Parts: sequence; structure tokens; C-alpha cells
Amino acid sequence: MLSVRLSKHPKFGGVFRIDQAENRQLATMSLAPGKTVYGEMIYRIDGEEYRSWDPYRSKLAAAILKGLEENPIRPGSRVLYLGAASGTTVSHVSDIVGPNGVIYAVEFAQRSFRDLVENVCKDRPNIVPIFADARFTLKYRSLVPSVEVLYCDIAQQDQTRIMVENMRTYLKKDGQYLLVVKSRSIDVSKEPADVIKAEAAFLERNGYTVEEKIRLEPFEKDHAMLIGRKKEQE
Amino acid sequence: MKAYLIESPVGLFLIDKTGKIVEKALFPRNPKDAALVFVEIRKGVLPAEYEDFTKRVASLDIERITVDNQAAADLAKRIGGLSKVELNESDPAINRYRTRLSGMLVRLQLIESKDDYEKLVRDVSLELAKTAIGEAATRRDLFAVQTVRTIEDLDKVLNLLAGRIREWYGLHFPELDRLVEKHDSYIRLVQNLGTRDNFTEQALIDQGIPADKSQRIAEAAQKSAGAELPESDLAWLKEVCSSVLQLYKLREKAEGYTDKVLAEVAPNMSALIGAVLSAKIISIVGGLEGVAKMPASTLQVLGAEKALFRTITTGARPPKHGVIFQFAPIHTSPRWLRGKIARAVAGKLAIAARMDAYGGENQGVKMKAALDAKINELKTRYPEPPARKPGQNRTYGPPRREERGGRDDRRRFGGGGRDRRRWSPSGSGGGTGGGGGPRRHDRRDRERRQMNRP
Repeated sequence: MLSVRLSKHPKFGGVFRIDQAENRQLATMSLAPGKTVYGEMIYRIDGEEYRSWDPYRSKLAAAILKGLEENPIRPGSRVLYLGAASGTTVSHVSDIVGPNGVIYAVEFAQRSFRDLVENVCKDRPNIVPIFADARFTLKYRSLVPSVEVLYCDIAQQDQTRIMVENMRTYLKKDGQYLLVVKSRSIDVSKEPADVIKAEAAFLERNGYTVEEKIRLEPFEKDHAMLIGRKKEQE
Repeated sequence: MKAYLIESPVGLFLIDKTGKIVEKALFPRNPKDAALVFVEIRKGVLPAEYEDFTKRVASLDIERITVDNQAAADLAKRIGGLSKVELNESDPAINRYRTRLSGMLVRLQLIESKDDYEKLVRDVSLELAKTAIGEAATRRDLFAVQTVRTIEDLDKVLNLLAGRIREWYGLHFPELDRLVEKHDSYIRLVQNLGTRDNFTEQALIDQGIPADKSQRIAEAAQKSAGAELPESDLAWLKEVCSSVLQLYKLREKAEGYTDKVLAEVAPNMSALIGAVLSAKIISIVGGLEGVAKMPASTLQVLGAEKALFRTITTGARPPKHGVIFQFAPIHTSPRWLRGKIARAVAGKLAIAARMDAYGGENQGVKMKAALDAKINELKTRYPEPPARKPGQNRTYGPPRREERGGRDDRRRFGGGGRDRRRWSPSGSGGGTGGGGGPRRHDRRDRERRQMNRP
């Protein structure tokens, strides 16, 4: 057995690093010990279980490895997650926010939603699965209160507009957003850099700052993550 | 008094301007039952057992009820009366109360703790999710989609295994491979006749092979250069053959099932292009309703996404047809007609899909007749390939890397058509980069026609 060394991430609570020989991986402490979600490696260290976090499958991990400065997702955070899909990233967010946090996971594709419920939500008490189209913001009003973080990873042409509408309804005044910009879903024929710039401009025009812009290569092609918050009212 | 109506998985709450809960209707604590009630609430319907709530609200003197979503508005109308309901989607007061709701309920001792509230929300949500998944799955078109995907998988597997058996038996009788084109015929011969000394002319004719071919095969069997095939090895090979033949039968059954289900689910589409091809289209889109929403131009190229996006990003020549190519009138027609026929088929198909998804009228026979008429009209109008102006097909620049060794047309008739990054030619007769050249039917067409013989 190769020696395995665990360390906390210097900046982000709930995130860990596992060093094994030459390899360094990101990891989170499992809220549902004994269960894997997508075949990730599990490490038992000092009586706790840690799940390896694959940046090629989870864009949040990719962003962290590409130099994310500030992570709005912390232990205890209340997160509205649009585009939960089968729950790969959701499971790690669930680990990070922990038992005192909540994730309202919205997903519209029936097949993915089924996986989300079966493989992730059943074992994790801090996830509320919502089968809805994120376009219809008010359909889940009765299930979701105000949240501190909005994480948006949906493949739609008007993804940024959808996120802004959700922010207006659900994001606290000092809340923050994380937006995954999939440039090919927005316009397949434009240069990704131009698409990303345009989305950032849209956010600024609508009263939100863009504090970080992170390209996710080599983990994801033509993707970027934007982070920001509501602009201060003058 | 002016009040706010808030709906939550725990119940309905009427809150006054001071933030006090003046009336409430509590839902059952059991998540399953609560979910059932909640589903009705989200539709704007108040279940009968809460009649009392309506009466109590009516007895209060309420000027106006404010809500923040349509379902609550419908509810409020039923409870309070039409004139008094105000819908304000980002009402700050309601926002505040929703966030504070769990705290308020704890203080009123309606729930034990905030954690309990969260747990209830989650459990109800889980129940709602299960119902949603169940409902979404009971659509018959999805079953047909799985079956046609099975057919596609079977085709791949059968092709693979047939190739394997040919190589395997080819150790004993290599000449047979070239003489019998159809896979299932080949395998049936191996299974029924065994070693090549049983491949007599009569035996072959009995197996259904036409006389002239039977003669050629029998001759080849006599002069074969292959190795001997011992009984036990033959027996094992026969076992494999019988399994593969069973898969062929399975594929036939799958087609039968598809025909049956699609006749019910999409009769118009099936009448036009057949059940299996209709199912393939539905499979690509994911559901019948999705197909109905698509314009004909999209249906025309569904399945040719690689070529389509290449056109969009590099300005290459667009694909004329996607899976729709599998429709016989398209792939058996000469090249210059395929695009036109594909367009006609796609047009009628879009209408058929809409009828199937939303209406249910079966105009199948009429539509097929109209389509056949149109195809015949195209065939008579364009019996010859279009004249090729000299230099019309040449690219403006060297062929791009992907296009070397690409599809047939490309290799033979030049590169990628209009390059939108430079100037486009003015009157080059439509500018799509031309159709077939003076070469009409070629070796491939001949091969294709040969393959359709047994």
C-alpha cells in the first residue's frame, strides 16, 4: 500500500488534498460513508472517509485546480443548484456544506433526475431534489427559501438569463453565484472567448459583478466559470 | 385587512401585515400523504378536506390577498374570491416570511425544530420526485425507443459475429465467403449443411439458393483450398451459428414489436417512413413530443450532426440527409435527387409527427399517397443529373484535412463548397457546391444493387 497523506485545502473549508506518491488529488469528506456515486476512489484515513474529486467530471473541482480565489460554497452554505444532472458535483457540494447546509438540486432531464434521486439524494439528508425546469423560476418557490449561493450549470442558449432570474427570486442580497458558461451551448459557431465575454457583460448589465473568470481547460473544453455577487446599490 | 398567502410542504398559511399567522391549513405529517396534497396545491386546487380553511378565511374581513406565484394565485381566488387577489412575483414581504416560516412555526409549536422543517421539506420533495419520475416514464414511445436502440445494437453485434463466423468457417471453405453475400444465408448454410462435401448443387437448391449460384458454390466446394474440419470442431461452430441465428430471429421479433407499438404511438409517421425508421428518429430526439416541436429542416438532418456542425463552424457543404437516408426512396435514388426527396420527406414527416404527438388523427394513407406523388413528380422533373458548369465544384482553397478520405462525393467531386470566410461567388446557380457530375451511377451503386439480391 502506497503511503497516503491527507491535508486540508489552504483556502477552502470542506475541501481536502490527498497526496499519494507523485499524485495529488482533491477530495471531500464523505457525508454518506461507504457509498460511491460515480465510481470515485474512497480513502479511509484516521477513521474518516474521503472521496476523491475528479476535475474531469466535476467543473467545480476543475475551477479549484485552475486557481479559484474564493469559494462561496462552504460548510453550512445553503445552495440552489441548477442543472444537478446525475449528481456528480452535487455529491461533493453536499460533502462540503455538510449536515448544517442544504442543496436545492434542480434538474429537468428525467433519466438524470432518476440517478440523482437513487444514487445521491437517498443517502444524503442535505439535498432536496426538485424535478423542474429552471426557466420556470416560481414553480419551486414553495420548496426553496432564500439561499446564499446559486450554482448554475445548465446547457441552454439563454443560460445566463435563466440564472439571473433565479438570482432575483432566490439569492440573498449578499449572496454569490457560480456560473458555468458552456460556450458551445450558447453559440456553437462563435469563439468561446467572445461568448464568455458576452455572458460576463450580460451579468454586469443586470447588476451583478464578475469577480472571477476561470477557463476550465484542460478539464473541460470551451468552458469557463464566472463568480460574482450582486452589485452594491449606489 | 391585507394578507399574504404562502404555500409550503407543511401547509397553507395566511399571514397579516404584522407577520402573524392568522389562519392555517396544515398538511399531513406523513411525507407520502403530504406530497399528494401538495401536488394538488401546486396545481392551484384545494383538496376537499380543507373546505374548512376556506370558510374560516371567508369569515375574516380581507381586502386583498397577495401571493408570489400563479398556483398560489389560483388557490387564493378559490378561497378569497376573484377581485381580491394580487400576484407579485418578487414580493419582498413574502420573501421575508418564507425565509422566516420555519422559525415562526417552531415558535407556534407547530413543528419541533427548524431541522424538522427541513427534513419535512426534503421528504416531501423526495416523494414528489418519485411521482414525477414515474409519470414521466409511462409513455409508450419510450419503450419503442429502447427497442429500436436494441435493434441498432443487434445490427452491430450481428455484423460483428457474422464476420467472425465467415473467417472461422473460411478456414475450411474460404471460397464460400465471396459467393454468399447475405450474412444470415451464409450462417444458415453452415449450420444446415456442415462440411463442404455436403455443399452439393441439389442440397444448395433445397436450401433456397438459386440454381446458377448453387452450381458455382458446389463447384467451388469441390475445388476448395481450405483445411479439413473435424466433427467436434464443426459441432462447436454450429453451436455458435445457432445462437447467432437466434439473434437474427430476435431482431425480427424486435421489428415486429416496433411495428406494433408505433402503429399505436405514431401511426402517421409510420405510414410515411415505416415504424423502425420513425422509432430511430424518436430515439435520436428522445421522445415523440420533441420530434413534433422540430422544424422539417432539422428532421431532415437528424443523425448527421457531425456533418451539420462542421458546416456551421467551417462553412463546409451541408449534409442532405441524416438517418432519413435509410428511407428506401432516398438511398435507392440517384444522387442528384436525394436532397430534394429528403426535403420533401422531412416536410411531410414534420406534419405527421405533430399529428401523432398532439392530435391522433390517422391520415397515414393519404399522406403516404401525397408523398409518393411528390417523389414521382421529382423523378420525372429531373431524370438527368444537372449540367455541371466547368469549375463549379472546385473549392476556393485546398481541401481541408478532414475532407481528405471523407465521404464519397467529397473525394470525387472536390472539396468543401462555399468558404464563407472569403468572398462567395455571385451567380453560381444556387451556390451549394453542385450535385453529381457527368458520372452518374457508379461502382458503389452497382455494388449496392447486387447486395439486395439473396
